[in-house]
Amino acid sequence: MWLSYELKVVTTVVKKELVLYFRYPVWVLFDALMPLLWVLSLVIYGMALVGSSYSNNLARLTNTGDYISFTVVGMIVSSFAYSTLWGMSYALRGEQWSGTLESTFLTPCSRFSILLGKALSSMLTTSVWVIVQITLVTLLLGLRINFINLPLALLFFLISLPSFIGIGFSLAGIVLDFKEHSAFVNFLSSLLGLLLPISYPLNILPPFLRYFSYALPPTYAIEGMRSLLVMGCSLSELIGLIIPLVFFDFFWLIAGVTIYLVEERKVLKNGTLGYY
Amino acid sequence: MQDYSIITKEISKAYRKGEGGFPFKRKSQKTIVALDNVNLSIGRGELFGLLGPNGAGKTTLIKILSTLIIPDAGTALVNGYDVLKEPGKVRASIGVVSSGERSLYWKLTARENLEYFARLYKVPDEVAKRRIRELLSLIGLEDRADDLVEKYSSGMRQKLSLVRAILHDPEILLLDEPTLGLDPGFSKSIRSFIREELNKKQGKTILLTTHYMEEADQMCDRVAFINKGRIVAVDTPERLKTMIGKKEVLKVVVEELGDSVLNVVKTLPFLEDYRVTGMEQSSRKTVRMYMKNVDAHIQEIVESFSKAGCRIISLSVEKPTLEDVFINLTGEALGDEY
Repeated sequence: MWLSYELKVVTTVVKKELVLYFRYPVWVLFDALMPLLWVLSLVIYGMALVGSSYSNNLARLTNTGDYISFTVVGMIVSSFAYSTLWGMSYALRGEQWSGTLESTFLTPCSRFSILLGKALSSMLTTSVWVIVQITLVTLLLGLRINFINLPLALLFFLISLPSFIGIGFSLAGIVLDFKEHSAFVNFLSSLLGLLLPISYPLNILPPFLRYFSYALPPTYAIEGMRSLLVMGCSLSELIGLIIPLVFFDFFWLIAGVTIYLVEERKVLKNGTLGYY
Repeated sequence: MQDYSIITKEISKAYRKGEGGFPFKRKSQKTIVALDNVNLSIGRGELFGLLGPNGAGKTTLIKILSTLIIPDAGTALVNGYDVLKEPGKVRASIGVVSSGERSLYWKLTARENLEYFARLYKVPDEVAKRRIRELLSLIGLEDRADDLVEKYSSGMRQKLSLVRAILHDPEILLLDEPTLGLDPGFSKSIRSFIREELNKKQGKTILLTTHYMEEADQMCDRVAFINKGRIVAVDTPERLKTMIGKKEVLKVVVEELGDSVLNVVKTLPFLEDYRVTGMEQSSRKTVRMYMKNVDAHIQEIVESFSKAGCRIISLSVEKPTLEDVFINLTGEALGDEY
């Protein structure tokens, strides 16, 4: 009974977010175009350096020299990670801006259902644009990915999702308290852009930076899905990535819920819930 | 033993405002007391008014009762549930309306807004559809149900906020300045809806905050005066007005009220008390003079003002209002101007 109510809240939030999203058509158009532009600029930059879509140096560092597939898969996985993280961190801040946070918090449902609904709607729109992206990059640049491994890649993504959601809970709480969502997102985007193996392999990073990369769940998600979709690995070969991911799932879910609750209590004590 | 819907127990709340913030150390902190040991009991089915000037602590109390703020000390029982221990049950028992216009999604239609909140309030879909239809019809918005809220006027949005607050048929309504900034027509219809439909017909317990004395006087069974976070008096409007005794009120609106005029006014032997209100920047002030048997003294008062070189714009004898009682109790007016 409780679970069905909270699940209904999640789907209701998803529906509301999607309706609101499509009420801003210019935003939708830019959302569709921007990831494609990012991918294209990275791919063209790489091709200019290497001279073709195949890099001997990349092949030496990883198990593939296909620079386009390497980068596109990195971008796709990071897009999902970002959409979960930013979707959740902006979730309550956006409601603060629009003035609807207090009316939402006055309802008896769980705050985490609201946050999950926000994350799911963000991921749904990202999925649509990723499909458009893959189709266009395949047609324009000859993307070669192992489509047979797609279900396994989705399974791998589902394994990494709880850790993303846990980090999202903590970001939602921190932004609810400190308010400055843009500052957090801009900084974290730049930091993750450096530390995650999106368009280059991790072993090219200085060793001390690699430690930070390995502390981030999206690193394992990108490496795992790239291994499945580009290198054609099997799931059993990725056990070294799955074990830390499962650990991160538990760690971040517990840490995320705790951080969110601490921050929410602080905001309720300060009386700044509705402040923007 | 009387059945109470809301009981507050020694609630106190202070806000600390300081310069700087994370990651910088705060240089100085100023403490503002919003509520100071507030004790109130509101009976089931009662329409209770909390009357006080801006910044008196009305909104803080509403937010504590609706679980949006945690008090520094004390607690409250709402529908029998402790706001600190059972916030979820409290939220399911209440409907809240604030004076802000932005508590709805402007890019959704009225119906979409209400359907969304109905689901969050656990109202079954079929029941929600019927209630939305009935309630929109009751407040005269059924023809605009499928318009985006951004196309609504302020008054229409406030009516819609009221509907959102009662969608789940809560036993208790917390209304924070529900008519603030609305034109007289909308204010009147909202007041009538609250008093006649929600309170008298549906029997809901209503806590209404306002700084409009007429609103509290006309609508409320009982009124509490709140000033600087403290409850100053609680009673029915009629009984509160008797606190002022047999005094009558002479309201004198004047231009250029200087100290010399006030010195003359103060010396009038029959004058029991007086208050001056009016915008600081404006040369026009209102002097409310409290005395017995006004008629016998009007001539002398007019002459005193004239001799002091002060021009009288208007003069009227009034019965004491809740505002007069508030002024007598606190020495402060509810608003800048009557």
